[in-house]
Amino acid sequence: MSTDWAEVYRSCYEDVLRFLHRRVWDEERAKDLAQDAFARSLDQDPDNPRAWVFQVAANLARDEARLVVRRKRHLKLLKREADVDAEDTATPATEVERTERLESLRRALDELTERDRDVLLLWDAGLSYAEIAEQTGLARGSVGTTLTRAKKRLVEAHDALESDDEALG
Amino acid sequence: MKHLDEGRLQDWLDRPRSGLRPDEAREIEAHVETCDECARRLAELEDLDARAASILSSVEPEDADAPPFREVIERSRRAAGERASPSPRVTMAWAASVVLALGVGWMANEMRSGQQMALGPEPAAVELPSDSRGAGSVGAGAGPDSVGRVAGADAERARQEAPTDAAESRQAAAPAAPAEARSGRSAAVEERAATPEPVQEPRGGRIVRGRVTDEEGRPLASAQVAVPEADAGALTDEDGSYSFQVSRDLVSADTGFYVTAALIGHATNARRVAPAGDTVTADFRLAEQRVALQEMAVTAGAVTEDRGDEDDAPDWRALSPAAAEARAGFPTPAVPGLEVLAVEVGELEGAPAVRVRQVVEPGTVLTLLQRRATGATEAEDQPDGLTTVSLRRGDLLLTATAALPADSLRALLERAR
Repeated sequence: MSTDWAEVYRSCYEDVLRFLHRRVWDEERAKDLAQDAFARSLDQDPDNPRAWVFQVAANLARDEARLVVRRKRHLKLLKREADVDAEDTATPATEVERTERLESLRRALDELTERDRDVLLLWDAGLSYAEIAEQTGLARGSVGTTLTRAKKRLVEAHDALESDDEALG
Repeated sequence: MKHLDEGRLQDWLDRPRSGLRPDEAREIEAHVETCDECARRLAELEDLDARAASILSSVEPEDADAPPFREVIERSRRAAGERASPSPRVTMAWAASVVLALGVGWMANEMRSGQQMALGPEPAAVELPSDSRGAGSVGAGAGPDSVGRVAGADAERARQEAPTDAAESRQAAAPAAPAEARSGRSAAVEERAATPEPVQEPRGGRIVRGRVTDEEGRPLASAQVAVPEADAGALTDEDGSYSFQVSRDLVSADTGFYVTAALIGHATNARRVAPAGDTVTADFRLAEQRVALQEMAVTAGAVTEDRGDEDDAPDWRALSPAAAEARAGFPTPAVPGLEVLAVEVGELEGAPAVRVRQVVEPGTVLTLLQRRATGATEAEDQPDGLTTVSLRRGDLLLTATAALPADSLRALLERAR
């Protein structure tokens, strides 16, 4: 066992957390899954530990997504209730703003195909093209074009959402 | 020279991690020097990169500091321990107690909505008012993926070793080999073709079936059998038999899922099963139990667990909110606007504690537990799908448990008074 997981953990935790946060959208859950991804890897000795951890993290995020589909309605429910008694819950403005930013990023990312989103988020997490290709099953040569397409889609969707919001006031 | 394509330009922007060789990079640079068209497109791409990066970083995790590495080691050990002794007693008790409340919640809801609950001889599938069907189709792609990940020998073993060791098959979440893991879909299809399933059930569903009897083996009719995780369930027929379908996407093959059986007057039973194919068989024997009805609450005492371990959950007494307050010495917590199923008073570590169950929506029960905060807060292991969040108010510790995402649960908890 030659992999120094403590070192991999130290250097990659933040990127893994960031990646998971953009997949599950719940910080506590993302932290939990990030630790889980490393815990599940400890008895492994892969060639590329960093890519390995991201692979485990991506699998965990996908499992989570299946559950989340079902749970989404709870969030909606809560949102409805929160709107009703918005007066007495006086959330700080910064918090509201953050929630809004999170929601618009989330909706923009939802506009991408699953593969494009994966490629984009792995790129954002700092993985190399070779690692991205390995994980997503893309040809090494198509990573660049996929990335360009994904970024364009993201920017378009984000801009469209912003102008929608403005139109709504 | 021809114009450079976007992929090449992107490669150049993302070097060195794009793997572009230095000589290739120089070639591109030389071209861009002399070609206005490509220089313009490169600038556009650069701009796009910056925009995308700024959008992506518009929300960052608030706390990105890595917890100590030893937590990861402990977590890994715990997981290994679970594999060695698959008998999470406390966990089971919790699951079952929540599930009993769930059963009651159902019933209350069914009655209120005026729908006829089928108590007759037919095994009536109780379709909970949920979006599980829609969820099934949305996540339809996820099924084969998980099969693909449980690659080769692992999958074979998981199939043969029927419902015992859920934790072991959970290991399959780690990729068998990074290379094959995400080629996903096609691998999954191949595997499917190579290993014919003995039972062909409708795509996208697992059949859960079995029989519910009393301790003497006599069939129990109208018992509620459910998979809370999937919001699915059915009532038993006169023969005690039941059968229903759960969406494959909602119950994880990696970790297994809980099947629960409840019948008024009997101790609720919960059991974890790991599906070995498309059909899961779960038989239950329910022990009789006295049920005291008091005001609007239903008491359930000890919960039996399948492996026959003695249950060490404290005794809880159902009381009215006012009586509970008088006994515990602090106000009874509740989230305004949610129906209260039960208010119970008991003791935890020698101190009075109040437990309140509320219906978030049909099929989802929130458990609030309030007690005087002692210095020690123990972490409660929860079965999959349940989340626990705690909040300290003055000298009181309020804990909420439900099958909800942590942020939803926190929001609910903060509204409790």
